Amino acid sequence: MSSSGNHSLRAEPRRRASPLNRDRSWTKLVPALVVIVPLFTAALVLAVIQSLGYFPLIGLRSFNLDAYRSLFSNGEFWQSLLLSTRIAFLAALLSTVLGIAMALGIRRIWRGRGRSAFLFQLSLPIPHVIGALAMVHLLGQSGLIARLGQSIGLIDAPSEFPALVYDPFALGIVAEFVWKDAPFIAIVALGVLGSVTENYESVAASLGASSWQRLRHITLPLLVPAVAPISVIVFAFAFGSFEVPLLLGESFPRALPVLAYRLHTNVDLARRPEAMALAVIMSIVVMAAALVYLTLVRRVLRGERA
Amino acid sequence: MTATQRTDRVIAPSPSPARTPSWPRQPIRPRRHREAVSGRIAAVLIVGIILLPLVPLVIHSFASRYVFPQLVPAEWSTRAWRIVLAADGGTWKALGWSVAVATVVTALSLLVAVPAGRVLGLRSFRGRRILEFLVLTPLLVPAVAVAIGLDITFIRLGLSGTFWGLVLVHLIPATPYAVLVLAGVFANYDADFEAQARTLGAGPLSVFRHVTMPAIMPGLIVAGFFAFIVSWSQYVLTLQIGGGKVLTLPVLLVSTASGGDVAITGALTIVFALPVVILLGVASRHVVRAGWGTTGT
Amino acid sequence: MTTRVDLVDLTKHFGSAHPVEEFSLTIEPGRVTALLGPSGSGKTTLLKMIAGVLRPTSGDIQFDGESVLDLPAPERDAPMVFHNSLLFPHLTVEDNVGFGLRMRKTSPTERNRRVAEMLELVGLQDFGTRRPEQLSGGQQQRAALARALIIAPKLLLLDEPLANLDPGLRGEMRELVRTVQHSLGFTTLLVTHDQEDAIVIADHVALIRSGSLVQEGVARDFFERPASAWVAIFFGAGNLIPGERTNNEVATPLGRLRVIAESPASGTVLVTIRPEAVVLDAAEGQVNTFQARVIAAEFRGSHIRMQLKAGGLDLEATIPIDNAKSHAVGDTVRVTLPPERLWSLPAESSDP
Repeated sequence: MSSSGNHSLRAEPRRRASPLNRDRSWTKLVPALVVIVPLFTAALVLAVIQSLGYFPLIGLRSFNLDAYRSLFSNGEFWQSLLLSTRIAFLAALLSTVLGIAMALGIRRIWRGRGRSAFLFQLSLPIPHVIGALAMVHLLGQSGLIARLGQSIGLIDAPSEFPALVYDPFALGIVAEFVWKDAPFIAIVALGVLGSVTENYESVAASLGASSWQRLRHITLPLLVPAVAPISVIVFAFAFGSFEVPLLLGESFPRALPVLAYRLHTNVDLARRPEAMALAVIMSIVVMAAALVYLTLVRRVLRGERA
Repeated sequence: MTATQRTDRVIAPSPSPARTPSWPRQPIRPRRHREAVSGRIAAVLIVGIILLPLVPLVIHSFASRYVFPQLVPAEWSTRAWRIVLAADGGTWKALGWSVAVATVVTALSLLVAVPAGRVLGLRSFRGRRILEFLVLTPLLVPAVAVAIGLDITFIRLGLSGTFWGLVLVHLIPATPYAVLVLAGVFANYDADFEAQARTLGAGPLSVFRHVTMPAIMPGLIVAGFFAFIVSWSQYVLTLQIGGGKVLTLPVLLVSTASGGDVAITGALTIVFALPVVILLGVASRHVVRAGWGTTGT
Repeated sequence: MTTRVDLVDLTKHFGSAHPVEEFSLTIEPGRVTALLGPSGSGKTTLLKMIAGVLRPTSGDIQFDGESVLDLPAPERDAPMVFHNSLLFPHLTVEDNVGFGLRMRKTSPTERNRRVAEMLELVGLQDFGTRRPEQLSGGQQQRAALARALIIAPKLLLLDEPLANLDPGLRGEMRELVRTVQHSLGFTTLLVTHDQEDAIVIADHVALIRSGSLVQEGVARDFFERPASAWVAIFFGAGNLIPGERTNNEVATPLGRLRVIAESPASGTVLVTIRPEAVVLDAAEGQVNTFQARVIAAEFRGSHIRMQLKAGGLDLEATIPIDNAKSHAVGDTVRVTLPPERLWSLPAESSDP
């Protein structure tokens, strides 16, 4: 590549490059963009187009908002939207709180973070399909926990065990996400809670901050920038996950991704534009949530005032 | 300063003056011992809680009768395993598809992610945050949306139900992870090493092979690991774009699970989980050094 | 607040490592005491024990006569200023400086008033709303100092606070610390490996080596009356002359040297004299005079550093520019060692 030959003796500057950097290193982004951008944008653009009624396959060639109108008047849509949002919110909240708590707790016991990071990453490679199936047999009414309950005399029959899967509160679904993601957040948090953070905490202590004050004013604010993007990803993933609600959810209301899929594979092809509309709406919701969340976090950090 | 304050003690240490201070003797050993014990307990607890959900499925796979309220199976059997591992069963084919697709996806996403991560991590230019966010978007948007958006087009292009069709769609969620990990690695990378090598006469390929690659190797392993797992775990993308013709392990597993035979489901689960758990063992030796750092955006 | 701090036989063991061994020191109220020592001498460990971050293995720490060993760090009122300012990165300079008051639940009005006062005292009145990363190293240290002082501490702990600063800046900061401490009068413990820090800032210096107190006193004592050869070398007294002492005379390879009576040690001794005290071309008839050959003469700006050889020994002399007669390498020159500037030490090994 001729570009690398050109700067043979010049050390690459690490400071802020000028906005119009003619350095041609932009070209290095091209392969990535070629792969991701067309495919991904195509998917979204196609979804938008088809949601607006342009569906030549079955002869629809006009642009209209019929699909959206039909969705919005569908009761299940709103319930599904609410359900998915609730699942995602709880998943993000609980895994963040739990993950940070685990990291802080482990820090007390262990000095080095190497070993704890290793343990926490055990759930990392397990696919969600397995996680969901595992939850069925752990939390289900005839699952392991229920059987333990029976063996210590708390219940007699499976039906006495609370419905944690296929339940209206989607507890099993949230549990699966928390099980998978809290350790990951713990790992990220441990990455921040190194010796540097400890030094700040020492200084705060010497200035008179109690352990609770140190947590609130020093430790947590230092954790937030690192953990926030991860919890956004957790939210987005939980919101858009197909397989987990498929395997652990009730049949009504279905989670939004499951609803979208069913509409898409519906025998009645006329429902396809609705599926597309749903895809578009899901994408918008997730992006909006991410933007709002990250902006809020940034503002909170900047406004940490007296 | 008065003369009395000039304590001209020239020889040290001074004997303590007439105070007889009482101080608590703190023996060190018990405290350290206590820490080690509670550490071990914590480790066992963590591992236990994380692995607990998998236990029922594992037990089921070796049981022929394991119903409520049994904690231990009434009857053991290897029937499920024999079926799952049968040479003419669907398992091996699905395994082959999963491995093939994931491997190619990993290779391609790394190829693409190294230069992209380099640009994002090494320099700070205006709009970098926006670019980072853009790279993140394929991760945020639901896979279902991508799957159904591309469905018709892929059918038209003849990519539906093909190996390369699958590879292409899997790249969409896999590449951003790789890019982010490598961007994090490059953020801590000192490009001066490369300049040094070049002044010593190394060509660009040599520089990459002998300077860049070794330095980013831990990051490469982590990025590759993430990309592999993303492809390996994909369900709805494969389900849709595979068009029902392609069976990867997750697709096979879900349809098996709906069949109701829990023992077979359990055995297949282990077959599906084992390869990536082993990969975790391999990758984690490099991870602790590199950190699972996704850069804080 | 002027607190008197007593360290009594402080010891710290980390397994087989003994960074501090029965260290005792009194830090006088309202004064700056410097704990001076080379790297690894245990001074930071001592500081951490005083601050409450580390527990001593044995020994006591007393503030105004009362033991603080059972007091956790937040209650000891002994803030630390480090060599990296450790200003909280997520807070503005104002919020950093006011942090200690906020922890004490001081009212916002009172807090803002005192923050403004402090910022003015350290010269950062226009930087309150900035973030730490926007400040230079020197400015960060000033802010860190303000942050520690604002809570009117019982004891101010400075851990190599100037180590990260450019040499030019260090002089300015030394002055600032000294001025601030004089106007506010807090008991201060300064831990450093830099002699100039100790000399300029401190009223009293304690020299620590391998976890034990070696000598303490005013700065001048270390130069003129070092307690051992190691101390002499640490403070740059390059001239160590071996000899046998009887009464007030020492038989050395340079001839018989007269020393003053207060000079300790007898028998086999090392006689030391500072390079600045060596006199060349003195008037005739002085005691302790001999001939030496010039090995090197380097111009050092305000003085000339000369290396001389006599009696098989290497001697170092520092001659102020105004007094220097020009001597070329190879010349023979008449050297005088004034007896009142000679100090004899026991001839022990000076190994660490």
